[in-house]
Amino acid sequence: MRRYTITVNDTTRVIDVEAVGADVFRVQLDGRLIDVTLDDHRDLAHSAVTPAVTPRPLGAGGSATAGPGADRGATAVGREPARAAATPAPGEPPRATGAPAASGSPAPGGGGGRDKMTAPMPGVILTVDVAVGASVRRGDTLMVLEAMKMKNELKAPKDGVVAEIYVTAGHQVKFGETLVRFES
Amino acid sequence: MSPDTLHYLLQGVQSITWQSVVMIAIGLLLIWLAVTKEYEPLLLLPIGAGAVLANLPLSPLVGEHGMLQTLYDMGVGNELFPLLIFIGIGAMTDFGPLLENPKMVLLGAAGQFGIFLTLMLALLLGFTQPQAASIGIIGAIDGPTSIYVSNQLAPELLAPITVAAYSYMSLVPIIMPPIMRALTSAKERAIVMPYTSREISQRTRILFPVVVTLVVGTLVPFATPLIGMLMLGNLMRESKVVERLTGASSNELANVVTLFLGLAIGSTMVGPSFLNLSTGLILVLGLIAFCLDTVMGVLFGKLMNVFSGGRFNPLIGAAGISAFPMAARVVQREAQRENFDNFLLMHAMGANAAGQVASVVAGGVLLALMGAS
Repeated sequence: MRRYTITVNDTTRVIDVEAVGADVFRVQLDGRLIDVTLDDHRDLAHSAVTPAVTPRPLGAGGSATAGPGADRGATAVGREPARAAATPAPGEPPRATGAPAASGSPAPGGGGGRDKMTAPMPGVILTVDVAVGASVRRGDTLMVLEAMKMKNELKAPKDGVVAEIYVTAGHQVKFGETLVRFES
Repeated sequence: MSPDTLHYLLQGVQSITWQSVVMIAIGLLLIWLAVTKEYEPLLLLPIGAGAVLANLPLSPLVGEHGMLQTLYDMGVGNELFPLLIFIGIGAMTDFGPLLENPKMVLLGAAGQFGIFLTLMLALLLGFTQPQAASIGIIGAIDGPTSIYVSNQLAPELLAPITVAAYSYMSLVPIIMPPIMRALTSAKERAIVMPYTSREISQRTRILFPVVVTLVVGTLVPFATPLIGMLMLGNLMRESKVVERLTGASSNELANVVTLFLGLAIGSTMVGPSFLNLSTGLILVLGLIAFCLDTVMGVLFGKLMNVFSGGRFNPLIGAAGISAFPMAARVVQREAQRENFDNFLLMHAMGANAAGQVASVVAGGVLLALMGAS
């Protein structure tokens, strides 16, 4: 856990930041707990924390989803490098043909940072059961991740249309790596 | 043709006893469980085959110089086989999830309570102290440890204890979930715990088996053979310089020894010594030990949930019972049933690996207690 004391004008605030995962933080501010998810930095996923990243509140107490984060000036700074660097990763599946165009345009998404599915733990992708352009419902199995010799079904976190798939069967993935991006 | 000739020719048929028929049926049942249900097939199939072969009338396999007897003398009577298997288990076990989350050690310890509770229960039922300790060790939910301990303390109970240990291990996915659900609320089961991606350096990974061996070996000398072999396998794995040895230990050696061990254990399942009341009691007590372990693990998980301010999913406690890696998989499955976005597998694996080590230590402690008495 890290504690920051930040003074804005004359108001001093103490903020406790606890890293829960590579892109998930628990922030305590004035006794309020806020869950923070780092913004989508597709190609920076391998670096656990990038300084340019601005946390985006998922909502007080983790209840509501984030508002239109792009409106915040600070957030926009963090977003730009990611967009610019969003070239297809090496080893990208050929089926992601619609990808370059899609990745060039920002995907604001009302659901905040939930317009993607990331790897919940390190492992190997066994099968990819969905194709680009397919519309999926929350709970549909998108792919199977083998971790610790166990097959884990990764299911769609939300309803949506698959915009990009970043992995193929046999792909070794790290924690937090983006697997699928959804169109908003 | 004299009556004697007929007698010699029909010797086999005449030597059939009801006990041997029952034991052959039990052996076939184990084979059936292995083949159709895939319950620990790697062990139950050879054990079943051993039981069938040993109980055929006048089986030459079990007499002096019989193959099964030779296997038994070679590696079960002197504890060699379980130790060789432990090298393989060490070579296959990734202690990374435990090193990422060292507090899981507590759950591994909590998962061993069933051993001691069952031990007391067995004492109440009239088993001798060494016998009770051997029965309790079923609660370690770890095959080689059970074999190792029971063979030292109560060799006469080796067969039923081994069969109980492996049968219940294979029933992990059936026995554990109802207990886990009964003890936790849906809200607790749905607690999301993201994966903590802490990088573990290779130095730490190499030091871990060395330090554990030195510490455990010094504190619990009776556990030295088991922990030493487990950690030797792990050291070979993590050192990454003897990949041939690691591969041989986790594949060829483990497979060959598993076959030998299964056959030898099966051959001890001979009618008169197996078909008695104590076998039935052992099967019941083993199940109780298993359930108590799970209960204690989950309850301890709930305790950790309280201390962490509601951020710890108590299901993970169930993985502390050992039964590596099935228990961790059951935890993952249960958590996902409640919330498919929840991946507890890595946490559960940490607790599970801790349970593995704790089982060995518990076995050593039991041996020390009984050796002292």
